[in-house]
Amino acid sequence: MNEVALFESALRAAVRTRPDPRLRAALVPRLAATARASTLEAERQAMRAGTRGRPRSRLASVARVGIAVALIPFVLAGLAFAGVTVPGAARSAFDTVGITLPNQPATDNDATTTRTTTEPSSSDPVDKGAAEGVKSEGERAQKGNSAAAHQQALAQRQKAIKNTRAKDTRGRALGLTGSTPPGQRGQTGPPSHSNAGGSSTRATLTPPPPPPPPDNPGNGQGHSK
Amino acid sequence: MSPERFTSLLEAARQGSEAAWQELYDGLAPVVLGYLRANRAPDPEDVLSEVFLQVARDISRFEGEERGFRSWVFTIAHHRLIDARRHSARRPIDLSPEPPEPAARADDAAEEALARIGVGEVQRVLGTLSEDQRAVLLLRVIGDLSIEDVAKALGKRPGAVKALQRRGLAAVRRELGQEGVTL
Repeated sequence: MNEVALFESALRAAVRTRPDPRLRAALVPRLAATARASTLEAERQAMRAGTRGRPRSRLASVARVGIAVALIPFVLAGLAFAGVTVPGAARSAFDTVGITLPNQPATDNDATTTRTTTEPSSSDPVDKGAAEGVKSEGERAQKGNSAAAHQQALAQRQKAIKNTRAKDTRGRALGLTGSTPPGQRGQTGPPSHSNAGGSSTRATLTPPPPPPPPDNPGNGQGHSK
Repeated sequence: MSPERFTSLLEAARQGSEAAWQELYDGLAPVVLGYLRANRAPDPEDVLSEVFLQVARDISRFEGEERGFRSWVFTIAHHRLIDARRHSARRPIDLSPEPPEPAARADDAAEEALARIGVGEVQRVLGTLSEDQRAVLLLRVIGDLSIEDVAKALGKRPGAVKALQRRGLAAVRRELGQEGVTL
């Protein structure tokens, strides 16, 4: 037997001690009562966790997803009522179940046209007419006749363009259209062929006469010397 | 003790059977107390009571066999020992440790070894070890725990526990060689 094994044996023998019997008598009932209370508490907690924990978590998540999906059509319908153009896919989904969303163009091209013509420049009469057409189209679309209204708006726009071109041609024939008023070109006087105001050539080419020379330069003030 | 016997004993202890607690206490209290005393725990019987009270509080959460239960109890004992040391660091220290009593039913080899070395010599050699070396040797020898269980109880890696054990045994050999213990 070497030293280490001997030491281990001696250690086992040396440290094995008998606890105080009074401690044992006092401690064992306390241990039993503590363990009983602890087990009861653990069972109670497990029961509470079982009643509210497991089934609810999966059901709740599925219910949340279902509610969110069910709300999507209502949100889209609400946007359409508010005048927002919803995407074509959503519109076609509504069309398949027989629901026509209000305030929507008939096709995607119409939607593009509507978007481009809703903000005309106030100075262009063509755009004004188109805007009026679009306005009337919008009003009629609310009544459920958007295609016909759109056609009418297009016809009005064509008519307005035609009228504008005709006015433009008449003005050019009279020599007024595109001409600039005389006072805005830098010409302040009358035209060269006109006689109004005398000869314009002399007036512009002759330099002004020099001032007359002094009569006696040496007798001025007496300061020349 | 057979695994079935231990399982029924554990279940009875969970339900609050005093007989079951007496059996558990009688089986583990002497070695736990020896571990605490050898580690110079301040007021070891008080620490022993705290250890068993925590075992009773947490026994509803314990799952495992007898070896795991033993390792679990020693883990609690080690933590309570550290707490007791911290607590006693703020108080005046009683430097007269109670000498361990020889066990009533030590086997022949242990009795023979104890007769050759002596309790005082055991205490002296233990006092030369570092705290970690002493804890490792005591848990391995007295607690009869594996390297992995000791590592778990001390919160160290198994490699570190092996190194501590090797250095601790080398120190023991050196100390006993200096004292001229030869067999």
